[in-house]
Amino acid sequence: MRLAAFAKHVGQDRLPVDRCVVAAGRGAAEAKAFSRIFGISHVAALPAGETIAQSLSTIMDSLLANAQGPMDLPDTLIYVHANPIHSDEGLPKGELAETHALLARLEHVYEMDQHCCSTLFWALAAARNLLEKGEAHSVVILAGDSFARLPLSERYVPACTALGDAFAGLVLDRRVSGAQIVDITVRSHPEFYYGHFGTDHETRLFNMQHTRLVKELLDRLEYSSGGEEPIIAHNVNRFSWDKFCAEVSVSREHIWTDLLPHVGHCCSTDAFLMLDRFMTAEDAGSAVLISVGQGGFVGGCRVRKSGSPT
Amino acid sequence: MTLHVNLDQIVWAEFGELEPPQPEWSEQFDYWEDYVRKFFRSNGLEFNSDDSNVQQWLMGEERAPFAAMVQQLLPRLAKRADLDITDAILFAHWLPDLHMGTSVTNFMMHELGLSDCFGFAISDRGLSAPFFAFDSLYKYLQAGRRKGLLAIADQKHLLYKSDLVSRLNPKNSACIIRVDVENKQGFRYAGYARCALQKGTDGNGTVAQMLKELGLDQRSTTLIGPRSLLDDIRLPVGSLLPTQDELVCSAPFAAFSAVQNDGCNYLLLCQDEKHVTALGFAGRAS
Repeated sequence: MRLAAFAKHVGQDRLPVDRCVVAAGRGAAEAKAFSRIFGISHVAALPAGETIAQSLSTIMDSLLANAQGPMDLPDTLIYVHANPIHSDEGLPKGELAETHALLARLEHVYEMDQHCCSTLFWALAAARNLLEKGEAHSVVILAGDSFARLPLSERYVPACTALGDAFAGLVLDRRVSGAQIVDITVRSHPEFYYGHFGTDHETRLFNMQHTRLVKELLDRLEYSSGGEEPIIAHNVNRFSWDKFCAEVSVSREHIWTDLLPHVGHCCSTDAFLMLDRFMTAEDAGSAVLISVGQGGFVGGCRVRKSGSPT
Repeated sequence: MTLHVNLDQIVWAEFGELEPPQPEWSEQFDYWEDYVRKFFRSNGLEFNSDDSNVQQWLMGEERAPFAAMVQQLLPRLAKRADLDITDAILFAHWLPDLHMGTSVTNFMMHELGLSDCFGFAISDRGLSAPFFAFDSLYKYLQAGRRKGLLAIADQKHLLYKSDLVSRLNPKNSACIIRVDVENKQGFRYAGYARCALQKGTDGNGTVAQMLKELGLDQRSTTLIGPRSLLDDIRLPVGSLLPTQDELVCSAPFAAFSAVQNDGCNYLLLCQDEKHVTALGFAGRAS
């Protein structure tokens, strides 16, 4: 599946993470410890007055401008958000084909939010299926969440992460020249069925399984831990990835979490916010993208640049 | 692919209280009040406190989360069918769960010890969700798979007040249907149909068209559906079997599970404002 265009839009404000922690009723000491251990000092936030619909429109402007070669206007939109409700109205209401030039030929719209922070990978699998079956000719995925109009405390997930606002867009088709998304892999781990509803104890059990869940997915992707292929990871926190590297013998430099300290965990879009770095990195022909979602949903794929050896 | 549904492998029930409210939950009132306010806003609606049903949702009587209802039905079905091999579980509902964030399909997989099973939930289709889910499951099994489950649940407590739901007066109810391509007993699945209801017309033309489309002879077909639709039917069908509206999405399957396999066909129906949706099942007389 060709990646015909991609775009990102990270909320331009930066909120100190300690404000989020304190807003959640926790002490300043916890705020300091969280930032130090989990490696997040700020989270990205949409500025006051910028709506989700405007952010998505910005993404669509960029997708039109960023086409990597010939690109047909999409006939299918998959709208992805990791959280069931938005802090404002989300996708523009009304006749979508009239809301943006990118959507002028739109015929089908799907909305996906069932797989928490891995939902974008389920959307990739859906796009691949629609394209392979000939149900779609060109698919645009628009993804992202914003917490800007929710209480600040909603951004803090104790002993886990802090949530930022960011959006990503992908246009996908069946052309074989150009960057390709391959090896799309999605896995459910039913033992974590409780998802957001879990008790503190259940949530802790889930968090403790991060290494196992990631390792299983990488094995399915036939990732070579001794190789040079980067893992473009979800920004859950620094501690989990340090622990993963220690336990699985993957070099920490191969796990790209550059944005983590200043942006936080941007739900479904994290890995896709690093595609621009990957596409301009001279020494990486392919990369693995991965996300672990609450509820035990784990998704991953591989992105290959044009002309990469297979 | 021919698919037969064995009525013995449809289990359903109404439920009372499965999760009593805990006193400490009252501390969550403000949180959920804010949640429902945001939920309204995310749908472009203004919320005012008169719309709130949070107190009832959080602390009311007869709370029955979806997973708890399904948990009670699974052992009943397991006595009638071997569920150890299940390729897919689809879940359908109209009214929302009490547990925000729990995956009912994953819960069922976990209960059954299934490790390689596809799960998907279908809502946002009103009362037609289980019909669409049944047909989706049929299509999924067509691609070389064998066995699936369709689970359906609705519960009575909503976060906000709704005249529509008040009139419906829903019960806590759930249903699980075994779908197995190797089963040759019971009724042959004749297909899914959905038609726009012409404004100002009753359902006769629509139902007649659906029966024709699904290849079901009118005179030997029983219509199972809401009384509001069946009351207007003047077609020379076999008979009319009204459903209990308060069983919501489980209603048509609850009624179907109780019929005698007398060789007749059955058309399961539901109706929303603009559409009639149906599932057809053929008896020997089709």
